[in-house]
Amino acid sequence: MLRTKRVLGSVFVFVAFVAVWWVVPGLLDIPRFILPTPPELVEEFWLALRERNLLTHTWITFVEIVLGFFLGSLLGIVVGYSLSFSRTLEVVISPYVLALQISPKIAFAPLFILWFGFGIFPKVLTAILVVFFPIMINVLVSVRFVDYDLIQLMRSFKASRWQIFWTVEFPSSLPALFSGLRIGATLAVIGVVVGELVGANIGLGYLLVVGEGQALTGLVLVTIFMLTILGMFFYFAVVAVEKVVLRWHVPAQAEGAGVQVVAP
Amino acid sequence: MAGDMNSRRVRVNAESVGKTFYQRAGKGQTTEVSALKDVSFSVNEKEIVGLVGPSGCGKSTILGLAAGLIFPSKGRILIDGEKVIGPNEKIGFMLQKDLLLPWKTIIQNVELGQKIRGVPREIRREKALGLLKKYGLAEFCLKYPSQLSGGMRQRVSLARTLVIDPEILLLDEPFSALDYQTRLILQQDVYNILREQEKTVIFITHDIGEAITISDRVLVMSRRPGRIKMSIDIDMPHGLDLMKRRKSKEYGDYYQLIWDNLDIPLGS
Repeated sequence: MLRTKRVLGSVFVFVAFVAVWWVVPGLLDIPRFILPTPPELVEEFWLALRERNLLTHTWITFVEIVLGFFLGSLLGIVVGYSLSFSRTLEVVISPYVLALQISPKIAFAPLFILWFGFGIFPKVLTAILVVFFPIMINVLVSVRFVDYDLIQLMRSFKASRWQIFWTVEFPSSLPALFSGLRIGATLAVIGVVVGELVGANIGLGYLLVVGEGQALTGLVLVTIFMLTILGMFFYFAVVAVEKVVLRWHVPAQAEGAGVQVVAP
Repeated sequence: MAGDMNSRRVRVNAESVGKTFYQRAGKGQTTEVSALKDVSFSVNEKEIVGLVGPSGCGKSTILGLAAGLIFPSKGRILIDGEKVIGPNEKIGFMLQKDLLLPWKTIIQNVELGQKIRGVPREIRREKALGLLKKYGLAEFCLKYPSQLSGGMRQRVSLARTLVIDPEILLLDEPFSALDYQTRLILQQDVYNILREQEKTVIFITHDIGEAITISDRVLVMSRRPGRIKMSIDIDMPHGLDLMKRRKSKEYGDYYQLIWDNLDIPLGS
Protein backbone atom coordinates (compact mmCIF):
# COMPACT_ATOMS: atom_id res chain seq x y z
CA MET A 1 0.00 0.00 0.00
CA LEU A 2 2.72 2.39 1.08
CA ARG A 3 4.83 1.21 -1.83
CA THR A 4 2.06 1.94 -4.34
CA LYS A 5 1.67 5.40 -2.84
CA ARG A 6 5.35 6.10 -3.21
CA VAL A 7 5.44 4.90 -6.82
CA LEU A 8 2.43 7.04 -7.61
CA GLY A 9 4.17 9.99 -5.96
CA SER A 10 7.25 9.54 -8.13
CA VAL A 11 5.13 9.25 -11.28
CA PHE A 12 3.28 12.40 -10.29
CA VAL A 13 6.54 14.36 -9.91
CA PHE A 14 7.59 13.22 -13.40
CA VAL A 15 4.26 14.17 -14.97
CA ALA A 16 4.28 17.57 -13.26
CA PHE A 17 7.85 18.23 -14.42
CA VAL A 18 7.03 17.38 -18.05
CA ALA A 19 3.84 19.47 -17.90
CA VAL A 20 5.69 22.56 -16.65
CA TRP A 21 8.38 22.04 -19.29
CA TRP A 22 5.67 21.68 -21.95
CA VAL A 23 3.81 24.86 -21.03
CA VAL A 24 6.34 27.35 -19.64
CA PRO A 25 8.55 27.91 -22.75
CA GLY A 26 5.42 28.89 -24.71
CA LEU A 27 4.22 31.28 -21.99
CA LEU A 28 7.63 32.96 -21.68
CA ASP A 29 8.32 33.00 -25.42
CA ILE A 30 11.45 30.89 -25.07
CA PRO A 31 12.44 29.86 -28.61
CA ARG A 32 13.10 26.26 -29.66
CA PHE A 33 16.86 26.82 -30.11
CA ILE A 34 17.13 27.81 -26.44
CA LEU A 35 14.82 25.20 -24.90
CA PRO A 36 12.78 22.76 -26.98
CA THR A 37 9.53 21.52 -25.45
CA PRO A 38 9.05 17.77 -24.79
CA PRO A 39 7.36 16.97 -28.14
CA GLU A 40 10.03 18.98 -29.95
CA LEU A 41 12.70 17.05 -28.10
CA VAL A 42 11.20 13.74 -29.22
CA GLU A 43 11.46 15.07 -32.77
CA GLU A 44 15.07 16.00 -32.11
CA PHE A 45 15.70 12.48 -30.87
CA TRP A 46 14.44 10.89 -34.11
CA LEU A 47 16.41 13.46 -36.08
CA ALA A 48 19.60 12.59 -34.19
CA LEU A 49 18.97 8.89 -34.81
CA ARG A 50 18.54 9.40 -38.55
CA GLU A 51 20.98 12.16 -39.36
CA ARG A 52 23.58 12.11 -36.60
CA ASN A 53 24.23 8.38 -36.17
CA LEU A 54 23.23 8.71 -32.51
CA LEU A 55 23.41 4.95 -31.93
CA THR A 56 26.93 4.66 -33.39
CA HIS A 57 28.16 7.45 -31.12
CA THR A 58 26.41 5.87 -28.17
CA TRP A 59 27.97 2.49 -28.94
CA ILE A 60 31.49 3.95 -29.12
CA THR A 61 31.02 5.77 -25.83
CA PHE A 62 29.57 2.60 -24.32
CA VAL A 63 32.64 0.59 -25.33
CA GLU A 64 34.98 3.26 -23.94
CA ILE A 65 33.12 3.27 -20.62
CA VAL A 66 33.17 -0.53 -20.41
CA LEU A 67 36.92 -0.60 -21.02
CA GLY A 68 37.67 2.33 -18.71
CA PHE A 69 35.46 1.03 -15.93
CA PHE A 70 36.73 -2.54 -16.19
CA LEU A 71 40.42 -1.67 -16.38
CA GLY A 72 40.17 1.13 -13.80
CA SER A 73 38.36 -1.17 -11.35
CA LEU A 74 40.85 -3.96 -11.94
CA LEU A 75 43.76 -1.61 -11.30
CA GLY A 76 42.09 -0.19 -8.18
CA ILE A 77 41.42 -3.68 -6.84
CA VAL A 78 44.93 -4.96 -7.54
CA VAL A 79 46.70 -1.90 -6.13
CA GLY A 80 44.30 -1.60 -3.17
CA TYR A 81 44.75 -5.18 -2.02
CA SER A 82 48.49 -5.15 -2.75
CA LEU A 83 48.98 -2.07 -0.57
CA SER A 84 46.89 -3.68 2.16
CA PHE A 85 49.54 -6.38 2.41
CA SER A 86 52.36 -4.01 3.19
CA ARG A 87 52.03 -1.09 5.54
CA THR A 88 55.56 0.04 4.60
CA LEU A 89 54.68 0.23 0.91
CA GLU A 90 51.49 2.07 1.78
CA VAL A 91 53.37 4.65 3.86
CA VAL A 92 56.04 5.09 1.17
CA ILE A 93 53.63 5.83 -1.66
CA SER A 94 50.79 7.46 0.30
CA PRO A 95 51.96 11.08 -0.34
CA TYR A 96 51.82 10.44 -4.09
CA VAL A 97 48.50 8.69 -3.84
CA LEU A 98 47.17 11.66 -1.89
CA ALA A 99 48.56 14.15 -4.44
CA LEU A 100 47.04 12.25 -7.34
CA GLN A 101 43.79 11.90 -5.46
CA ILE A 102 43.56 15.62 -4.86
CA SER A 103 44.51 16.58 -8.41
CA PRO A 104 41.47 16.89 -10.68
CA LYS A 105 41.91 13.73 -12.75
CA ILE A 106 39.90 14.97 -15.69
CA ALA A 107 42.55 17.69 -16.18
CA PHE A 108 44.76 14.91 -17.51
CA ALA A 109 42.47 14.41 -20.50
CA PRO A 110 44.19 17.02 -22.76
CA LEU A 111 47.55 15.46 -21.89
CA PHE A 112 46.36 12.02 -22.93
CA ILE A 113 44.97 13.45 -26.19
CA LEU A 114 48.36 15.08 -26.85
CA TRP A 115 50.16 11.82 -26.19
CA PHE A 116 47.84 9.30 -27.76
CA GLY A 117 45.81 11.16 -30.36
CA PHE A 118 42.12 11.11 -31.17
CA GLY A 119 41.42 7.37 -30.81
CA ILE A 120 39.50 5.71 -27.99
CA PHE A 121 42.65 5.04 -25.96
CA PRO A 122 43.01 8.49 -24.29
CA LYS A 123 39.30 8.42 -23.33
CA VAL A 124 39.69 4.98 -21.79
CA LEU A 125 42.80 6.20 -19.99
CA THR A 126 40.98 9.21 -18.51
CA ALA A 127 38.20 6.92 -17.32
CA ILE A 128 40.74 4.50 -15.78
CA LEU A 129 42.30 7.36 -13.87
CA VAL A 130 39.03 8.62 -12.36
CA VAL A 131 37.67 5.13 -11.63
CA PHE A 132 40.86 3.89 -10.01
CA PHE A 133 40.95 6.05 -6.85
CA PRO A 134 37.63 5.50 -5.11
CA ILE A 135 37.99 1.77 -5.64
CA MET A 136 41.58 1.55 -4.47
CA ILE A 137 40.94 3.70 -1.39
CA ASN A 138 37.76 1.83 -0.43
CA VAL A 139 39.51 -1.52 -0.73
CA LEU A 140 42.56 -0.42 1.23
CA VAL A 141 40.64 1.26 4.04
CA SER A 142 38.19 -1.62 4.42
CA VAL A 143 41.00 -4.16 4.76
CA ARG A 144 42.60 -1.93 7.38
CA PHE A 145 39.31 -1.80 9.28
CA VAL A 146 38.95 -5.56 9.63
CA ASP A 147 38.50 -6.47 13.29
CA TYR A 148 41.96 -7.12 14.70
CA ASP A 149 40.58 -9.80 17.03
CA LEU A 150 39.39 -11.71 13.99
CA ILE A 151 42.91 -11.66 12.57
CA GLN A 152 44.24 -12.86 15.94
CA LEU A 153 41.67 -15.66 15.96
CA MET A 154 42.83 -16.73 12.50
CA ARG A 155 46.42 -16.62 13.67
CA SER A 156 45.55 -18.81 16.65
CA PHE A 157 44.33 -21.39 14.11
CA LYS A 158 47.81 -21.11 12.54
CA ALA A 159 46.41 -19.52 9.40
CA SER A 160 48.91 -18.35 6.79
CA ARG A 161 48.94 -14.77 5.50
CA TRP A 162 47.09 -15.92 2.37
CA GLN A 163 44.49 -17.83 4.37
CA ILE A 164 43.84 -14.74 6.47
CA PHE A 165 43.45 -12.69 3.30
CA TRP A 166 41.09 -15.05 1.48
CA THR A 167 39.09 -16.15 4.51
CA VAL A 168 38.68 -12.85 6.33
CA GLU A 169 40.11 -9.72 4.74
CA PHE A 170 38.84 -10.16 1.19
CA PRO A 171 35.23 -11.07 2.07
CA SER A 172 35.10 -8.35 4.75
CA SER A 173 36.12 -5.75 2.20
CA LEU A 174 33.51 -6.69 -0.42
CA PRO A 175 30.80 -4.26 0.74
CA ALA A 176 33.27 -1.37 0.55
CA LEU A 177 34.58 -2.64 -2.79
CA PHE A 178 31.07 -2.59 -4.21
CA SER A 179 30.35 0.91 -2.96
CA GLY A 180 33.60 1.91 -4.68
CA LEU A 181 32.43 0.19 -7.87
CA ARG A 182 29.12 2.04 -7.74
CA ILE A 183 30.94 5.37 -7.49
CA GLY A 184 33.35 4.21 -10.20
CA ALA A 185 30.50 3.31 -12.58
CA THR A 186 29.25 6.88 -12.61
CA LEU A 187 32.75 8.37 -12.71
CA ALA A 188 33.67 6.23 -15.74
CA VAL A 189 30.96 8.01 -17.74
CA ILE A 190 32.34 11.41 -16.70
CA GLY A 191 35.92 10.39 -17.55
CA VAL A 192 35.02 9.19 -21.04
CA VAL A 193 32.83 12.20 -21.85
CA VAL A 194 35.52 14.66 -20.77
CA GLY A 195 38.02 12.80 -22.93
CA GLU A 196 35.66 13.06 -25.88
CA LEU A 197 34.91 16.74 -25.22
CA VAL A 198 38.62 17.56 -25.35
CA GLY A 199 39.30 15.82 -28.60
CA ALA A 200 37.30 13.28 -30.57
CA ASN A 201 35.62 12.71 -33.89
CA ILE A 202 33.18 10.13 -32.62
CA GLY A 203 31.24 9.39 -29.44
CA LEU A 204 28.59 11.22 -27.40
CA GLY A 205 31.12 13.78 -26.12
CA TYR A 206 31.89 14.63 -29.73
CA LEU A 207 28.14 15.09 -30.38
CA LEU A 208 28.03 17.53 -27.46
CA VAL A 209 30.81 19.57 -29.08
CA VAL A 210 28.98 19.52 -32.41
CA GLY A 211 25.72 20.53 -30.75
CA GLU A 212 27.40 23.38 -28.92
CA GLY A 213 29.27 24.60 -32.02
CA GLN A 214 26.14 24.68 -34.18
CA ALA A 215 23.81 25.90 -31.40
CA LEU A 216 21.76 22.69 -31.61
CA THR A 217 20.22 22.72 -28.13
CA GLY A 218 18.03 19.76 -29.00
CA LEU A 219 21.02 17.61 -29.97
CA VAL A 220 22.83 18.52 -26.72
CA LEU A 221 19.78 17.59 -24.65
CA VAL A 222 19.32 14.30 -26.52
CA THR A 223 23.00 13.48 -25.96
CA ILE A 224 22.75 14.25 -22.24
CA PHE A 225 19.73 11.95 -22.12
CA MET A 226 21.70 9.10 -23.75
CA LEU A 227 24.63 9.63 -21.36
CA THR A 228 22.28 9.43 -18.41
CA ILE A 229 20.84 6.18 -19.75
CA LEU A 230 24.39 4.79 -20.09
CA GLY A 231 25.30 5.90 -16.56
CA MET A 232 22.18 4.27 -15.14
CA PHE A 233 22.92 1.08 -17.03
CA PHE A 234 26.38 0.77 -15.45
CA TYR A 235 25.21 1.79 -12.01
CA PHE A 236 22.40 -0.74 -11.91
CA ALA A 237 24.61 -3.44 -13.43
CA VAL A 238 26.93 -3.02 -10.41
CA VAL A 239 23.98 -3.00 -8.01
CA ALA A 240 22.64 -6.22 -9.57
CA VAL A 241 25.97 -8.01 -9.17
CA GLU A 242 26.30 -6.66 -5.65
CA LYS A 243 22.90 -8.05 -4.69
CA VAL A 244 23.95 -11.53 -5.76
CA VAL A 245 27.44 -11.44 -4.25
CA LEU A 246 26.51 -9.77 -0.95
CA ARG A 247 23.31 -11.57 -0.03
CA TRP A 248 24.76 -12.13 3.45
CA HIS A 249 25.55 -8.47 3.95
CA VAL A 250 22.08 -6.99 4.32
CA PRO A 251 21.36 -8.36 7.80
CA ALA A 252 24.90 -7.57 8.92
CA GLN A 253 24.46 -3.97 7.84
CA ALA A 254 21.22 -3.73 9.74
CA GLU A 255 23.17 -4.62 12.86
CA GLY A 256 25.63 -1.83 12.31
CA ALA A 257 28.39 -4.34 11.67
CA GLY A 258 29.00 -3.05 8.16
CA VAL A 259 32.36 -2.03 6.83
CA GLN A 260 33.57 1.53 6.85
CA VAL A 261 32.93 3.08 3.49
CA VAL A 262 34.76 6.03 2.02
CA ALA A 263 33.42 8.34 -0.63
CA PRO A 264 35.87 9.63 -3.25
CA MET B 1 39.48 -30.94 44.32
CA ALA B 2 42.24 -28.38 44.51
CA GLY B 3 44.30 -30.64 46.72
CA ASP B 4 45.27 -33.19 44.10
CA MET B 5 46.11 -30.53 41.53
CA ASN B 6 49.70 -30.33 42.65
CA SER B 7 50.41 -33.91 41.69
CA ARG B 8 49.25 -33.30 38.12
CA ARG B 9 51.37 -32.43 35.15
CA VAL B 10 52.04 -28.73 34.59
CA ARG B 11 50.73 -27.63 31.19
CA VAL B 12 51.13 -23.86 31.15
CA ASN B 13 53.98 -22.19 32.92
CA ALA B 14 54.82 -18.49 33.00
CA GLU B 15 58.29 -17.68 34.31
CA SER B 16 58.89 -14.05 35.34
CA VAL B 17 57.10 -12.80 32.26
CA GLY B 18 57.27 -9.09 31.49
CA LYS B 19 55.66 -7.32 28.57
CA THR B 20 56.32 -3.78 27.47
CA PHE B 21 54.40 -2.09 24.68
CA TYR B 22 55.67 0.89 22.76
CA GLN B 23 53.20 3.61 22.00
CA ARG B 24 53.71 6.42 19.55
CA ALA B 25 53.67 9.79 21.29
CA GLY B 26 54.08 12.13 18.31
CA LYS B 27 57.22 13.67 16.79
CA GLY B 28 58.85 10.27 16.40
CA GLN B 29 58.82 9.78 20.17
CA THR B 30 57.62 6.58 21.71
CA THR B 31 56.62 5.90 25.26
CA GLU B 32 56.98 2.59 26.97
CA VAL B 33 53.97 1.08 28.61
CA SER B 34 54.72 -1.73 30.98
CA ALA B 35 51.73 -4.08 30.77
CA LEU B 36 53.07 -7.03 32.73
CA LYS B 37 55.86 -7.25 35.26
CA ASP B 38 57.35 -10.41 36.66
CA VAL B 39 54.31 -12.60 36.15
CA SER B 40 54.79 -16.19 37.24
CA PHE B 41 52.16 -18.88 37.52
CA SER B 42 51.48 -22.38 36.38
CA VAL B 43 48.37 -24.22 35.33
CA ASN B 44 48.06 -27.94 35.87
CA GLU B 45 46.43 -30.50 33.65
CA LYS B 46 42.60 -30.41 33.75
CA GLU B 47 42.66 -27.37 35.96
CA ILE B 48 40.35 -24.41 35.41
CA VAL B 49 42.03 -21.17 36.37
CA GLY B 50 40.16 -17.88 36.53
CA LEU B 51 42.06 -14.65 35.97
CA VAL B 52 40.64 -11.52 37.56
CA GLY B 53 42.05 -8.03 37.91
CA PRO B 54 41.31 -4.35 37.40
CA SER B 55 40.68 -3.15 33.85
CA GLY B 56 43.82 -2.71 31.82
CA CYS B 57 45.97 -4.85 34.10
CA GLY B 58 47.18 -7.06 31.27
CA LYS B 59 44.88 -10.07 31.58
CA SER B 60 44.34 -10.30 27.84
CA THR B 61 48.06 -9.84 27.29
CA ILE B 62 48.68 -13.01 29.29
CA LEU B 63 46.30 -14.96 27.07
CA GLY B 64 47.89 -13.48 23.95
CA LEU B 65 51.29 -14.62 25.20
CA ALA B 66 50.07 -18.12 26.02
CA ALA B 67 48.42 -18.34 22.58
CA GLY B 68 51.70 -17.38 20.91
CA LEU B 69 50.16 -14.30 19.26
CA ILE B 70 52.53 -11.91 21.04
CA PHE B 71 55.85 -12.48 22.76
CA PRO B 72 57.18 -11.56 26.18
CA SER B 73 59.73 -8.77 26.59
CA LYS B 74 61.18 -10.59 29.57
CA GLY B 75 60.98 -14.12 30.93
CA ARG B 76 59.29 -16.90 29.03
CA ILE B 77 56.10 -18.86 28.80
CA LEU B 78 56.02 -22.62 28.40
CA ILE B 79 53.36 -25.01 27.15
CA ASP B 80 54.08 -28.59 28.20
CA GLY B 81 57.65 -27.57 28.98
CA GLU B 82 58.28 -26.04 25.57
CA LYS B 83 58.85 -22.36 25.06
CA VAL B 84 56.01 -20.71 23.14
CA ILE B 85 57.32 -19.40 19.83
CA GLY B 86 54.03 -19.10 17.93
CA PRO B 87 50.46 -20.35 17.76
CA ASN B 88 50.15 -23.88 19.05
CA GLU B 89 47.72 -26.59 17.91
CA LYS B 90 47.05 -27.66 21.47
CA ILE B 91 45.44 -24.32 22.19
CA GLY B 92 41.91 -23.09 21.59
CA PHE B 93 41.19 -19.39 21.83
CA MET B 94 37.82 -17.78 22.44
CA LEU B 95 36.92 -14.14 22.96
CA GLN B 96 34.10 -12.03 24.28
CA LYS B 97 33.05 -11.25 20.72
CA ASP B 98 31.81 -14.33 18.91
CA LEU B 99 33.81 -13.30 15.80
CA LEU B 100 31.65 -15.40 13.51
CA LEU B 101 32.08 -14.62 9.83
CA PRO B 102 28.76 -13.10 8.69
CA TRP B 103 29.09 -14.44 5.13
CA LYS B 104 29.49 -18.04 6.23
CA THR B 105 26.77 -20.34 7.52
CA ILE B 106 26.90 -21.63 11.07
CA ILE B 107 28.36 -24.98 10.05
CA GLN B 108 30.96 -23.29 7.83
CA ASN B 109 31.92 -21.08 10.76
CA VAL B 110 32.34 -24.08 13.03
CA GLU B 111 34.51 -25.75 10.39
CA LEU B 112 36.79 -22.72 10.07
CA GLY B 113 39.68 -23.90 12.23
CA GLN B 114 39.70 -27.37 10.71
CA LYS B 115 39.54 -25.94 7.21
CA ILE B 116 42.58 -23.78 7.88
CA ARG B 117 44.41 -26.80 9.21
CA GLY B 118 43.61 -28.72 6.03
CA VAL B 119 41.15 -31.28 7.43
CA PRO B 120 39.27 -32.89 4.49
CA ARG B 121 35.74 -31.62 3.89
CA GLU B 122 33.76 -34.76 4.82
CA ILE B 123 35.64 -35.27 8.05
CA ARG B 124 35.36 -31.69 9.21
CA ARG B 125 31.68 -31.47 8.28
CA GLU B 126 30.84 -34.62 10.18
CA LYS B 127 32.69 -33.43 13.23
CA ALA B 128 31.18 -29.96 13.17
CA LEU B 129 27.69 -31.36 12.72
CA GLY B 130 28.20 -33.79 15.57
CA LEU B 131 29.19 -30.97 17.89
CA LEU B 132 26.33 -28.71 16.79
CA LYS B 133 23.88 -31.56 17.44
CA LYS B 134 25.33 -32.08 20.88
CA TYR B 135 24.88 -28.40 21.74
CA GLY B 136 21.34 -28.29 20.36
CA LEU B 137 22.26 -26.13 17.38
CA ALA B 138 21.89 -28.66 14.56
CA GLU B 139 18.74 -27.03 13.18
CA PHE B 140 20.62 -23.75 12.69
CA CYS B 141 23.58 -25.16 10.82
CA LEU B 142 22.58 -23.64 7.47
CA LYS B 143 21.57 -20.28 8.92
CA TYR B 144 23.78 -17.21 9.00
CA PRO B 145 25.14 -15.74 12.26
CA SER B 146 22.91 -12.65 11.98
CA GLN B 147 19.87 -14.94 12.28
CA LEU B 148 20.94 -16.21 15.72
CA SER B 149 20.68 -14.66 19.19
CA GLY B 150 23.78 -13.55 21.08
CA GLY B 151 23.74 -16.60 23.34
CA MET B 152 23.45 -18.99 20.42
CA ARG B 153 26.23 -17.25 18.56
CA GLN B 154 28.52 -17.60 21.53
CA ARG B 155 27.65 -21.31 21.67
CA VAL B 156 28.60 -21.57 18.00
CA SER B 157 31.82 -19.75 18.79
CA LEU B 158 32.51 -22.31 21.52
CA ALA B 159 31.80 -25.15 19.11
CA ARG B 160 34.24 -23.59 16.65
CA THR B 161 36.86 -23.53 19.41
CA LEU B 162 36.22 -27.08 20.62
CA VAL B 163 35.90 -28.78 17.23
CA ILE B 164 39.66 -28.65 16.71
CA ASP B 165 40.13 -30.63 19.95
CA PRO B 166 42.31 -28.16 21.85
CA GLU B 167 43.65 -29.54 25.12
CA ILE B 168 44.20 -26.11 26.57
CA LEU B 169 41.51 -23.44 26.31
CA LEU B 170 42.13 -19.72 26.65
CA LEU B 171 38.86 -17.86 27.15
CA ASP B 172 38.82 -14.06 27.22
CA GLU B 173 35.62 -12.94 28.96
CA PRO B 174 33.58 -15.52 27.06
CA PHE B 175 30.28 -14.60 28.70
CA SER B 176 30.53 -10.87 29.30
CA ALA B 177 28.71 -9.79 26.14
CA LEU B 178 25.58 -11.78 27.10
CA ASP B 179 22.59 -10.75 29.12
CA TYR B 180 22.47 -12.02 32.68
CA GLN B 181 20.11 -14.97 32.25
CA THR B 182 21.75 -16.21 29.06
CA ARG B 183 25.07 -15.87 30.81
CA LEU B 184 24.02 -18.09 33.74
CA ILE B 185 22.74 -20.77 31.38
CA LEU B 186 25.80 -20.67 29.16
CA GLN B 187 28.17 -20.71 32.14
CA GLN B 188 26.61 -23.95 33.34
CA ASP B 189 26.68 -25.50 29.86
CA VAL B 190 30.27 -24.52 29.22
CA TYR B 191 31.30 -25.65 32.66
CA ASN B 192 29.77 -29.08 32.06
CA ILE B 193 31.54 -29.35 28.73
CA LEU B 194 34.90 -28.30 30.14
CA ARG B 195 34.61 -30.79 33.00
CA GLU B 196 33.36 -33.62 30.81
CA GLN B 197 36.15 -33.14 28.29
CA GLU B 198 38.71 -32.56 31.05
CA LYS B 199 40.12 -29.43 29.47
CA THR B 200 42.86 -27.31 30.91
CA VAL B 201 41.48 -23.78 31.00
CA ILE B 202 42.58 -20.22 31.66
CA PHE B 203 39.69 -17.81 31.54
CA ILE B 204 39.50 -14.10 32.07
CA THR B 205 36.50 -12.57 33.72
CA HIS B 206 35.34 -9.35 35.35
CA ASP B 207 32.67 -11.25 37.19
CA ILE B 208 34.02 -12.37 40.54
CA GLY B 209 31.08 -14.73 41.02
CA GLU B 210 31.81 -16.39 37.71
CA ALA B 211 35.45 -16.78 38.66
CA ILE B 212 34.58 -18.43 41.99
CA THR B 213 31.93 -20.82 40.71
CA ILE B 214 33.77 -22.05 37.61
CA SER B 215 37.42 -22.04 38.70
CA ASP B 216 39.52 -24.51 40.63
CA ARG B 217 41.81 -21.61 41.32
CA VAL B 218 41.55 -17.86 40.93
CA LEU B 219 44.55 -15.68 40.13
CA VAL B 220 44.12 -12.08 41.23
CA MET B 221 46.15 -9.51 39.35
CA SER B 222 47.35 -6.08 40.43
CA ARG B 223 46.89 -2.85 38.53
CA ARG B 224 49.19 -2.10 35.63
CA PRO B 225 51.94 -3.16 35.36
CA GLY B 226 50.11 -6.37 36.09
CA ARG B 227 51.52 -9.09 38.24
CA ILE B 228 49.93 -12.03 40.00
CA LYS B 229 49.02 -10.71 43.41
CA MET B 230 47.48 -13.79 44.86
CA SER B 231 46.41 -17.29 44.00
CA ILE B 232 43.29 -18.62 45.69
CA ASP B 233 42.36 -22.29 45.63
CA ILE B 234 38.60 -22.63 45.41
CA ASP B 235 37.31 -25.55 47.35
CA MET B 236 33.57 -25.98 47.10
CA PRO B 237 31.85 -29.27 47.86
CA HIS B 238 28.76 -28.73 45.74
CA GLY B 239 29.23 -30.88 42.70
CA LEU B 240 28.78 -29.44 39.27
CA ASP B 241 25.77 -27.23 39.92
CA LEU B 242 26.95 -23.64 39.63
CA MET B 243 23.73 -22.30 41.14
CA LYS B 244 24.27 -24.34 44.30
CA ARG B 245 27.80 -23.05 44.46
CA ARG B 246 26.57 -19.52 44.14
CA LYS B 247 24.27 -19.99 47.12
CA SER B 248 26.86 -21.63 49.36
CA LYS B 249 28.43 -20.11 52.43
CA GLU B 250 31.97 -20.39 51.02
CA TYR B 251 30.96 -18.33 48.02
CA GLY B 252 30.53 -15.20 50.13
CA ASP B 253 33.89 -15.69 51.84
CA TYR B 254 35.74 -16.13 48.56
CA TYR B 255 33.92 -13.16 47.10
CA GLN B 256 35.02 -10.94 49.96
CA LEU B 257 38.61 -12.19 49.77
CA ILE B 258 38.90 -11.52 46.04
CA TRP B 259 37.13 -8.19 46.21
CA ASP B 260 39.44 -6.98 48.99
CA ASN B 261 42.46 -7.75 46.83
CA LEU B 262 41.23 -6.22 43.60
CA ASP B 263 42.32 -2.57 44.12
CA ILE B 264 39.13 -1.26 42.64
CA PRO B 265 38.62 2.30 43.85
CA LEU B 266 35.03 3.03 44.73
CA GLY B 267 33.84 6.62 44.53
CA SER B 268 35.93 8.43 47.15
